[in-house]
Formats: sequence, C-alpha cells, structure tokens
Amino acid sequence: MPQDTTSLSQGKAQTSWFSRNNQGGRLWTLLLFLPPALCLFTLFVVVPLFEASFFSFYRWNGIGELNNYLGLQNYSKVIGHSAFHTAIGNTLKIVAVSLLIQLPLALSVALCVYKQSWANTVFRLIFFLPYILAEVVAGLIWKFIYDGNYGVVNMFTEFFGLENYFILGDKQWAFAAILIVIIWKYFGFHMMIFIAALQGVPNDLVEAAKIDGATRLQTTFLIKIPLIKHAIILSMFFSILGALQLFDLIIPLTNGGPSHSSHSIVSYLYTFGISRMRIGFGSAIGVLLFIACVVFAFTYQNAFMKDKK
Amino acid sequence: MKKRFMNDWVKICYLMLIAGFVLVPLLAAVLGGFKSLGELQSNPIGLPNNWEFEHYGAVLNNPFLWNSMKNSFVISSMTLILTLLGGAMTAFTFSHIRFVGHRYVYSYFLLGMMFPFATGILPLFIKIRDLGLLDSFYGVVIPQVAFGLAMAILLFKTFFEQLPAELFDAARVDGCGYARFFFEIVIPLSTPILATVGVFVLVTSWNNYLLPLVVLNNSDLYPWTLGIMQYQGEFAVEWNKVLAYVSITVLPALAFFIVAQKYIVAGLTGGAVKG
Amino acid sequence: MATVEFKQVHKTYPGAHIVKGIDLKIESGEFLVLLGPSGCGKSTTLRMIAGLEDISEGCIEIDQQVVNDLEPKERNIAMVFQSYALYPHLSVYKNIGFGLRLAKVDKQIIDSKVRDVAELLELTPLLDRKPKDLSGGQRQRVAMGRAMVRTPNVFLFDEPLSNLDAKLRHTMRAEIRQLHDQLKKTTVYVTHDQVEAMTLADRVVIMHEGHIAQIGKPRDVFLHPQSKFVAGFIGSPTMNFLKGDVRIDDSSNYWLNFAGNDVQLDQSYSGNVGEVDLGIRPSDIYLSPKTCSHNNPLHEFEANIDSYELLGATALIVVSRGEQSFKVEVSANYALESGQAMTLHIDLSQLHIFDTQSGAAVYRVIN
Ligand SMILES: Nc1ncnc2c1ncn2[C@@H]1O[C@H](COP(=O)(O)OP(=O)(O)OP(=O)(O)O)[C@@H](O)[C@H]1O
Ligand SMILES: [Mg+2]
Repeated sequence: MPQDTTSLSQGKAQTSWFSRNNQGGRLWTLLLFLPPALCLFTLFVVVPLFEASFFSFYRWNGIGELNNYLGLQNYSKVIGHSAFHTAIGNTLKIVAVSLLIQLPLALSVALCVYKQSWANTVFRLIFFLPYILAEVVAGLIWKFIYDGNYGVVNMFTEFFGLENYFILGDKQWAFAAILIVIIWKYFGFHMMIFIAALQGVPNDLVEAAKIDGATRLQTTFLIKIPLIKHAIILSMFFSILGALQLFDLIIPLTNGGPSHSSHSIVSYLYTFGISRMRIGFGSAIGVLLFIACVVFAFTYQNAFMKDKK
Repeated sequence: MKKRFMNDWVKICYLMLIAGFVLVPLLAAVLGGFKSLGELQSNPIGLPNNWEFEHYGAVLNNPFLWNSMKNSFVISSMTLILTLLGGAMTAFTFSHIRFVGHRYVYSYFLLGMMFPFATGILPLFIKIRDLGLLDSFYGVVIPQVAFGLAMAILLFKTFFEQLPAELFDAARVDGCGYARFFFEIVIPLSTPILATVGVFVLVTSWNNYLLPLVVLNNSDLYPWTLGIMQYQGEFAVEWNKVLAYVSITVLPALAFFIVAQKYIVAGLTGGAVKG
Repeated sequence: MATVEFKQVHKTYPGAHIVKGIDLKIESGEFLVLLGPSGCGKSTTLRMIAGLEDISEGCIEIDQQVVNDLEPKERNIAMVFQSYALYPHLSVYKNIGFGLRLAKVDKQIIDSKVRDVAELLELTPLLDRKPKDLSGGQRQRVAMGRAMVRTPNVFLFDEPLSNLDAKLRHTMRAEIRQLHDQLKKTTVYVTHDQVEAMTLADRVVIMHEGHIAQIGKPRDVFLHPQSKFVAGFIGSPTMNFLKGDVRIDDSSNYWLNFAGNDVQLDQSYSGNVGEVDLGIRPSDIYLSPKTCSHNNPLHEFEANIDSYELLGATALIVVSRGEQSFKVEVSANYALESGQAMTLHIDLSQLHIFDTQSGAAVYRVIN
C-alpha cells in the first residue's frame, strides 16, 4: 500500500517519508530480511558468472597474476577440441533419448498408474525410487551391472559362451550404456509430473467423451494427452536442461572414458578445466554452457510456455 | 467386458516389466553384498546360496563410513536451516512488504534457476579459496544455500501470496508489525511449504557431489558421496564390499523417502507444474 | 466512547480515484452502517479508519485527534473481517488473547478478560478448539470476541455476516445489535445487504462511486431518497421508474402527465418543466382501493398483467400499459394470471419525481 508516493497530499505535510513507510516496522523488517539472501546470491551465484566471462579471456592456473591475456583463444580451443564435439554429440543423444524413449515411457506409465489405488501407489513409488538415489550411487550400481567379470552383462556372456565383454570400456557402446542408466534414473521424475497433470484433468470431460462414444484409446489420445500438454512441455524443458547439466552419473560409470568418448558437457568441463586447474579454459566452457542454457531457456519459454501464463 | 479384462492384463504385465527394470539392479546391489566374489560372478542377481554377512559387517564397522555420513548430515542440516530461513524471509519481502521494485529483485533471483551450478564453478572455487573456506563445511554450505535460494523463494512467495490478506490486516489491528507477523503467523502456517522446500533442499544437498569434490580435499571432511567414490577406488574389484557399502548408504535416503514421500511428491507437482 | 470524523477524505490508487471527498461525523455510541453497491469504496473507507489503508488526502479524526499517521494498534479500534481472519494455528483462547499478548498485558489479566468475553459470547466450551473445528457462526463469534476483548473505542465491521447462511445471519444480526445496545460503542458497519442496514443502523450512509449519496435514519432513507440512485438502490423489489412530463398551466399549477394520465402536483414541486423521471415502489400500487389503508389520493388506471411470480406471502406481477411496464407487489391471495386486464391504483402520496439530468429528487408529497 505505501508503495505509491502520495503526491496528492496537501500542504498539511505530516510526518517524514521514513516514518510513513515504516508503519508496522516495514522498513526495518525489509532491511533485516532482504540483504542476507541478496548478498549471498549475488556473491556466490551472479558474480562468479561474470568473473567466468572475464577469466575466460586469460590463461591462468589460479595462482599468481592474471596477466596472460589470450583474447578469444580459449574459446577457439574449446570449439576446436574433438572431445568437446563428442560431449556436445553426447548431450544431443541424451536429449534425443529423453524425448523419444524416456518421455513416452514415463507418459505411458503415468497413464497406467495415475488413478488413486493401492497398487498404483506401490508402482508409483517403485518407479520413483531411482530418482531419489544419489547419482553416484546409481552410477556405482550400474557399473556393477555392466561389469564384464561380474554383473548381468557377464551373466549373458557366460550363458552364450562368449568372451567377457566390458561395455563401459567399449568406445562404441559406453555412452549407450549411460543412456540406459539415465532413463532408469529419471523417467520416474517425469512420470510424477504427468501424474500430477493427469489428476488435474476434470473427470467430467473424460466421462463426456465416453458418452460421446470414444474408446479408451481415443479418450487417452484425444482428451487426456492434449489436456496435459503443459506438463509435457515442462517435462521436455527439464529433460533438455538436465541433459545440459549431467555430471554426477558419468564419473562413477566411465569417468568420461574410454578416450573421452562419454563426456557430458559438465564432465568435460571438470576433466579439462577444474581437475587441471585451467581456470581460463574451464571458464570459457562454463560461459558457453551458460549461453546455451539461457538461449535455450528463453527460446523455449517464448515458443511453448508463454501463453500458459 | 472381455476386452477390458485383456486390457488390464496387458497393463499389469507392462508395469511388472518396468518394475523389474527398476528393481533388478537395486536388488542385485543389496544381495550382492551377501555373496562371495565367486558367487557374484556366477550368480549376480539371484538370492545368495551362501549368505556371507562379513561384508556388511565390515562396512558397518568402518569408521570412515560413519564419519562421512556425519559430515553429510552436518552439511545438509546447515544448508537446510539457512536456505529455509533466508528463502522465507526474502519471499516475505516480495509477498507482503512489496517495496518499490520488488518485481525486479524477484526476477533477479529467479534468473538463478536458469543455469547449472557448473557454469561458474571455477570462479566460485577461486572465491571460496580466497575467502579461506576451502576444506571447510562453510565452503560447501554457503554456495549450496546461494544456489538453493531461487527455488525456495519461488515456492515460498507463491505460498505466502495465497495466505488470506485479511489475516495480515487482522494482525495489524491486533498490533502485529511485519517481522512479528512473519515469525508468529506466517511461519507456523507455512509448515507444508517449509516441509516441501526442506525435503528438496535436504535431498539435493545430501546427494551433492560436484561442489564438495571441488571444495574439500581433506578426506576427514568428505561427505558420503565423496566417501563412497573413494571406497570404490580402494576396493575396485571387490564388488561384494562395494555393493555392501552402497546398499548401506542408500538406507538413510530410503528411510527418508518413505517418511517424507508426501512432501517430495508435493514439491514436484506443486513446484514443477506451476513453476 | 469516541467520535469519528472524516474531513474531505480522499483515497487514490495509482490510476484510480476510489474515495472522492467524504465529510462525515459519527457520533459517540452511534451504530453507523455504510451501505452501497459492490466496489463503491465502503471497505476502503472502513480500512482508512482502521489504519490499514493510507489516507491520500484529508484527515480522519477519532475523538478530535487526527489519526492519519497512527498505527492501527494506536487508534484504539477493533475490526471484524468478512472472512473472520482467525489465526488458523491458534486455539480460540489464543486467538482472542493475541492482541493483548502483543500489547504485553499481564497473563492473569488476559486470562480473565478472555474468559469474560467468552462467557458473554457463549464461547467458553470452545476455548481450546482450533478455528477449523468451529461452525461458521462460532467462528463469527470468535472474531467478535477478538474485537471486544480489547475494549476498543470504535468497532469496525466489514461485511461480517456475508459468509453465513440466511438463518444464521438473522440470529447473528440480532446478536450484534443486542451487543451494541449493551456496550454502546461507536460502530461502523459495512454491508451491501439493505436488510442488515435497515435493522442495525442508527444512521445509514449510502455510498455511490466514492461519494456519499445520502445520510440518514433507515426510515428516512427508504421513504425520502434524495436521488434516483438511492431510490433505486434501497428497497426490494426495486422501485419502478417511468418517464413523465411536467407542464405548467395558465394558473401556474404544475401538471404531471404519465402513462396517459394527468395529475396535478402541489406547490412543493421544485423541478423544471419538461421530461422527468418518476419513481413508485411496487408496494405503493394497489389492486383495489380498499387494500390501501390510509386515505391517500389514488390514481386509477387500466393495465394488463404480463407475468406473475409468487414470492411467498406476496406475489410480484409485472403489468404494462402502452409502452410502460412496471412491477406491482400484491398479496398472494389474489388469483391472478398473465394476460388478465385489471384496474390498478397508484398511491400518489408515494410518488417520487427526479430530475432527468442530475437525478436529484425534486418532489415528494408529504408523509
Ligand atoms: N490496491 C488497489 N489498487 C487499485 N484499486 C483498488 C485497490 N484496492 C481496491 N481497489 C478498488 O477500489 C474500489 C473500491 O474497493 P472497496 O473494496 O472499497 O469496495 P467495496 O465497496 O468494499 O465493495 P464490496 O462490496 O465488493 O466489498 C474497487 O473498484 C477496487 O477495484
Ligand atoms: Mg468490501
């Protein structure tokens, strides 16, 4: 309410601006409540972002003077690096698999279990379980499954009398193995989004369609799925943003190997920037990642999510 | 009717198949900890023929595990408290104090949700180092709070704005100022959203890997995520030990999931679908 | 005991002028009702008294003291809200005592005050309950208890009964009036329900688009509306408005022509010659002269029934005569049906005449 400066106030000019706006301790509370978070956020989230774009023009190992100005060399090095190309390719693969396999899987499962019942709840919990595990744990468990000497892969090779096969050591298939883990870990999350949306579909619409003679399949494709379009758009958004951020899962599974064939963008950043303390080079990767995220988020929201709000 | 029956069967088989896909790796991990290495080779997923309890025993007696769990607990709790408090107070300035320009400041915070943690990680590392926070819990906690604020503020603000406006008026007439209203009325009424945000902050912090990896060098300070990777590094091929270790670290998360399930789902659906 | 006085009070929001210069003096111990259509600025006016809303211009005085810059708690007022605004996490006891606790009143005194109020409002058995475990009427009483416990100088009510069902509203209305008679506290009560206004008020203030349209005793407002707006707003079923024509004859008598008839007006007519708006309440038109109890001049005319609607003890018929059609309230005993032709009698003493331009009342036969 006191937001408008009451310019109409006639000559009587009562009390000061401060006391007028400080009714109920408003200003004191503001001064106490806002700055801590604002400072923390600025200092540890926003400032590093700007510093990253600054550092990316230098060669620097984090110690000593920041004087080795390189211009755009770090960027051209990143962009020319074949491991970076692989990482981008891998990210695109994650996006493709997320959209073409994970999302339909999650949607089909959600359609099966979205109604309230005892059995459905159990299924939902099971499907959601991998999502709450830490990425490193999921990675280690699957590393065992994929282990050529022990795991399930070994079981198959033994059964067919083949040689031991280490899929995570196979340049061709290592990333495909990671993709399976990604589906395993995250489809439950998308399922939950769809379930929430499906539960919001008014029941009378579904019933009206039934009375109009629609089959179950028709109600699903003509009523339910169009009505949860916003959830699908959102889920795609999370899938793509998630693909851009993937890291924890890669490290236990392959650590980016063999010969840097299974890096995600962040694990690439970690391997070539952080662990070698190449601040400038790593920052350049970070900046590129940032640009990718912001461009994606803005275009996506403009294209799909605008009319919703 | 017959068709309906068939449909149900197809559905149940489909669900069972996927449930198998989800559960087999988990069960294999838990059971693997009870097997000898030899049996692990021949029978990776079935029940053990010969139950060996020593691997779990060894892990449970490993002080390193308990220490890393304790570290994670301390880090997560601090992150939780600071994020909830900071997030709620900030959201309150947007929902009730509504100072001039509050919309811009709010959008500024929301920007923080748009890009991954990793983009500024190197400068962040430098900053933490220059502040002398490397190898300390604060070095992990403070950035975690900073990054968790955006989501917390978004959810809190939405919730606070839905509190009836007349409640604030009534409190003002009763003689309540803003701060008092926040602590005595808003916070007690916000338990559902506090729990929802809290669960998310807690899980994110508990599972965090990259930040402690960058900030912590001293293995005495390792949270369990770093601990488990170190343990796996040491016992690389002794899968029965590693699996026992993994299974035990999963337990707290599992227990927590069962207790807080309602809020996890609420957070996903409320936060995600509206967001 | 306190008076409340408005001096040229305005309220503006960026881009909207909501309250446009109110002058009003509320006497000590008076029960004043602010009545008006939705959005006319009643709540805003009330909230300015409470200190929940800044006063853009002018000033409000409580007991001759300007309160523009005082905090709500310093104004010695208490307020009851439409949604009751009880604190959901506190028990009834704590809800009532909350304000006293904030004012750092001694625990024992709080306790005795809360219990006294609870006794008065018959809330004693409910003191340990949470608001969600109460019925609508009980919540309403808790909200009043919270207001009363602070023994304020002025009570403010913002549509306190509108969330209750019709029956409960009736009993609570009686209770509020009874409490006022007991406590004799200055009360400002906002409503858009005229029955509430009529039954509760010592004086009614009718607001219209941020202005005061009329102030007066309920009976005066009903019988002598000063403008077409007030006439149309007060009374249910609403007043009939028709067009009429006033002319002046050679002996400077005013003649009103409406619905094809001529009626002579007496010298109290203060309007212009030419077109005017006429108003007559549906209850001032009779089917037979006998039903009209008093000996007022009646004007007789023929009309056809267009529709018949039974309301209960009375029925509402819509009749038409030529172009004009109007509502008539009749006893439900008459067996009437659509299409029937009949003779009606208008009680001329109840005829209102309004200026077409300004809407101001220009003629009303004595009563
Ligand atoms: N913060 C605000 N900014 C702009 N306009 C407002 C604001 N608050 C209220 N208004 C406007 O002020 C006008 C009067 O509002 P007020 O609440 O006083 O109406 P009211 O007479 O109490 O109506 P009702 O019977 O519906 O409660 C409304 O048109 C409303 O839209
Ligand atoms: Mg109102």
